Amino acid sequence: MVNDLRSRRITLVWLGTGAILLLALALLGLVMRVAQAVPGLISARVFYAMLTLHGSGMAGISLTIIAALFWYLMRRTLPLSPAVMQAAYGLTMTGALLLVLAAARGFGAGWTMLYPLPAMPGPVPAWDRWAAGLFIAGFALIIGAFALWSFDFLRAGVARYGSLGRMLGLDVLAGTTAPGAEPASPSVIAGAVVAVDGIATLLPGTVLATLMLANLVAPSFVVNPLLAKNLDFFAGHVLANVQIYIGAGVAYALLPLYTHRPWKTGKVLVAGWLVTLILVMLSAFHHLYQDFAEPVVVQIIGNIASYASAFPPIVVTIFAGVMLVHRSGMRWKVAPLFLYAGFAGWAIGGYAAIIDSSPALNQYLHNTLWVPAYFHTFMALSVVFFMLGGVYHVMPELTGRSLAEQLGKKAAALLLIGGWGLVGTWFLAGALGQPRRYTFYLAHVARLGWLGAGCVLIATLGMALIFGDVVRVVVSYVRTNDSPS
Amino acid sequence: MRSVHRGKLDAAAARLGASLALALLAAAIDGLAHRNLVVHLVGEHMALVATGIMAALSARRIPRLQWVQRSTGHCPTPVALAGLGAILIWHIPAVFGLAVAHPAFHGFMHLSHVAAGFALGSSVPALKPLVQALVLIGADGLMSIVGLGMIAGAMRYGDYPPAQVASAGAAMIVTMQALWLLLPLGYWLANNDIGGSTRNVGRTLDQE
Repeated sequence: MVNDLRSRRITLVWLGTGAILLLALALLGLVMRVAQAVPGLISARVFYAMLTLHGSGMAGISLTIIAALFWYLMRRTLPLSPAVMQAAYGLTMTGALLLVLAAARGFGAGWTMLYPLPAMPGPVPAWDRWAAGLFIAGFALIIGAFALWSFDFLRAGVARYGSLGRMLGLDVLAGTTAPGAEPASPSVIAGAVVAVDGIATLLPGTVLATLMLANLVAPSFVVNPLLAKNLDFFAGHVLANVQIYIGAGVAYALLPLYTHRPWKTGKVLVAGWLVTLILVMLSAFHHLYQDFAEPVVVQIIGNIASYASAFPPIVVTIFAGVMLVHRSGMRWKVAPLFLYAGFAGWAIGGYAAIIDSSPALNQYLHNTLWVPAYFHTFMALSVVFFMLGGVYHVMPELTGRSLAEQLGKKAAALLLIGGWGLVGTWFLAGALGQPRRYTFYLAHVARLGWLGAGCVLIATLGMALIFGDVVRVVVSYVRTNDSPS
Repeated sequence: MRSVHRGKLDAAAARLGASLALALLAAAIDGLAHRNLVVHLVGEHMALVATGIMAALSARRIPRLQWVQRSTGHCPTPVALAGLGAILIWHIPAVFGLAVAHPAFHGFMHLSHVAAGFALGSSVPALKPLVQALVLIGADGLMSIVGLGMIAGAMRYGDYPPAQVASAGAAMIVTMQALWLLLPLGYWLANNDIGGSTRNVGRTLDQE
């Protein structure tokens, strides 16, 4: 009972702080969009520092927030540790603070920074070594928080199911589930895949951070640039992708509660997640297409793995999720609305990513706005939507108060219109050749820049409506000091 | 019923292991391995480790060899770490270079791979389930770093051309994901030997 109260409090603090951070980072995005539409509004230095903070903050903070939400949903199934979540919160917030300090000191190498850029910002240095060091340390702390989560999830799952194999549902695949025993739920399987991939890529990520910090401290220590890039994209790719798998875990846990139909663990689902376990790492090779110095076989593996990685989510999660809702008579409350919209973002963003993972098309699209377009489609319009669906579901449990349904539906409409409008302008601008990471739009797509800025404004308004409602509920809960129901 | 199934599986593993070892001793493959690092580093080494693992798993059913299982069962963690260490050490370019240059050292390298596989096959099933998982995942992560280094040309092996080293790195990462992670899980599960207690399976915390 005490542990449950503690779990609720930790989750509420996580979600409250997360809402503030995500809104602040979204506002940075709005400023950047306006700056792109109005060249000269802010300097290039400030723009790239904001771009870096926005990218690293969104990638890192959304990973830990959706992991925290998933942790809360899974705590009744697995003996998860509240102390670990408290430690993860401390690491994440310290990491976020370091990222802000790095941006304040001008660090603007991008969140997928390439060696030796952090130590060598250019002929007119835009940041000092301290700023680069703060950024790498801050990001490492956030990833460290996710590593803690992964270890705890694995520990709890093995303790509950007896082994990693059963946690992954292999007994279902082999037909050896003990009589009377329930196999791992789809949420547990998704979480197990995330934890395994998270821990496996933690090592390359740690090596990269160590090499980069060593280079900052002792510039005479030289790192092989291709090795640094390979480690960067191997770890970065997996850590970005697992967020959507945690989102799938959230959908597995919540959607059946609204459709009143179970999401069963079947052989196809288990096989799909096993394939995903491997392919998420191998598809990282599609980031190496443009590195002519690396072997062609890497491109072939990346291409095959990227194409193949599309099938498991489409079949076992998105299609199954649609079938779960179809003719279920589900009442379209805000929580399932966001979860369902999250499937759309995953499917469409994933399809656009597959297009970019075709080497011939990647030749044209790889450094254009097409890339941020698909990345934002499955981060903002899928991961964040899964997160919002989860928030609308758990808030009554956490505070004894519900978020306003009608306001939530209006906010959802604004987010859908603004969000899809924004990525739509990016897809179009990218296909028309607008480079990514430019501070301005090329003349022939300048109108798309304005349109994109307008769409961000609409989406930010939707986000602000939800944020305001969350604040209302939390303040009301704190003021009356009610115990959670 | 289950013991019959397990016996058949172990027998099949033993035959497959012996066939693999014999195939690798064949002059044609050995010669190819000398010319091509992809065959040498991935095919030969992984297969030799797999041979050792299968031999160890099969040895559990042979009464005369069960003392091996019993002895490693007392201290499975050091045995598993020694097995992993024996494999990893040959991935250090200088050590591998020595093995390629000296035939006797080369033979020792191959023998040590089989021995490492045997050590892993006899010790890992005796590890606690969480440690089993961490050994698998940790080794996968470590070998990914080596593979990414090879792809980038940061590591050189003997006189093999850089392009071959890079391809071997990519092949090693694929092999690690496909074989290292999935095959042990599948084998242990089929043997109902994946470790751990099943008493809590299917019960939620609220039911306790």
